[in-house]
Amino acid sequence: MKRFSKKIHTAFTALLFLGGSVAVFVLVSHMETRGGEALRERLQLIADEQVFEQQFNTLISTVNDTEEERTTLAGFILEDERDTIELLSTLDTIAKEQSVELTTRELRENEVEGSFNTLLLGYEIRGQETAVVRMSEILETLPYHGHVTSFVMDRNTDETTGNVTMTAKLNLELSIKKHDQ
Amino acid sequence: MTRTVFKRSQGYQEQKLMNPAREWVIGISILIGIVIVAGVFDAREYFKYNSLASEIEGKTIEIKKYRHSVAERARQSFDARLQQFNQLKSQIPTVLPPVVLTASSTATTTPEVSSETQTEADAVDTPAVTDVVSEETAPTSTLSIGE
Repeated sequence: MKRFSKKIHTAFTALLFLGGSVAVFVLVSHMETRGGEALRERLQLIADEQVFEQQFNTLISTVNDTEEERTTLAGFILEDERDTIELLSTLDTIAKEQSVELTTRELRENEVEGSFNTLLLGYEIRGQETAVVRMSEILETLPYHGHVTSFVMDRNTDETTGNVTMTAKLNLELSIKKHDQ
Repeated sequence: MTRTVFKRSQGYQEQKLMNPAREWVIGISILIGIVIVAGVFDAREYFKYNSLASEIEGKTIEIKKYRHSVAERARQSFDARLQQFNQLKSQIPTVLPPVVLTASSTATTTPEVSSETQTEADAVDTPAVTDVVSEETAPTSTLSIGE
């Protein structure tokens, strides 16, 4: 009986060790799997950061390399109201130099989607034919991003004196940078 | 009878629940099985994560590309436009502007004066249309873009 009990004890101990080793194996495997997933997440994070860093460096490089060009191009866009007032004053000066009567018919800023709003300018130009045509060309070739949306010319000949005068109505649409940007 | 019983009792063999050789074989087999399973599992995990760093790619980020060619074309276009603008601006007319003699529909509170009575001489003496401009706010600034 004593020998039988000893054998049972030995078998139980062996089974206990077996169970323990299996449990340790399962536990270690589970920890290994979890560690692997954590490793995957961290590697993904590192890869993302590397991509961000690379793109950031590229962007910085582009910004530095193109600064002069962008500054030049930005000069062809109306920046703010001060630029607008300066432009209007300049046009008045030019009109005076060109001996034409320049009347502002419309001046308003139109909200549009995107980075820029549009400044709507409507002018009526009166004067000698050549001067009016030249003034119209000047308005057409304003060194700002924009275009002429409509242009109407009306020639009037005085029957008594034979003087030819011209009236031109011109609408311009210029890009102006949004104030909130 | 007694002898027979005793004699037979000696014939009972003890039941061997534990056979050392057999148990060793079983134990070592289980051990080898565990080692093999663990080895396979570890090898699988090793190959799974060994090349992980090279397999994982970072997120793709959409960054607007700066198109040099477009910017250069725009700059050239604006430069040409600025040049043309400056050229037109510098062409000052030399002749005196005539008086606008067309009938006007503009309402006025001053006594109506027929424009047909004006002559060329009047045109010289009368403030020209340029003065209309000059009466407005005197501008002082000029375009300085690209200059």
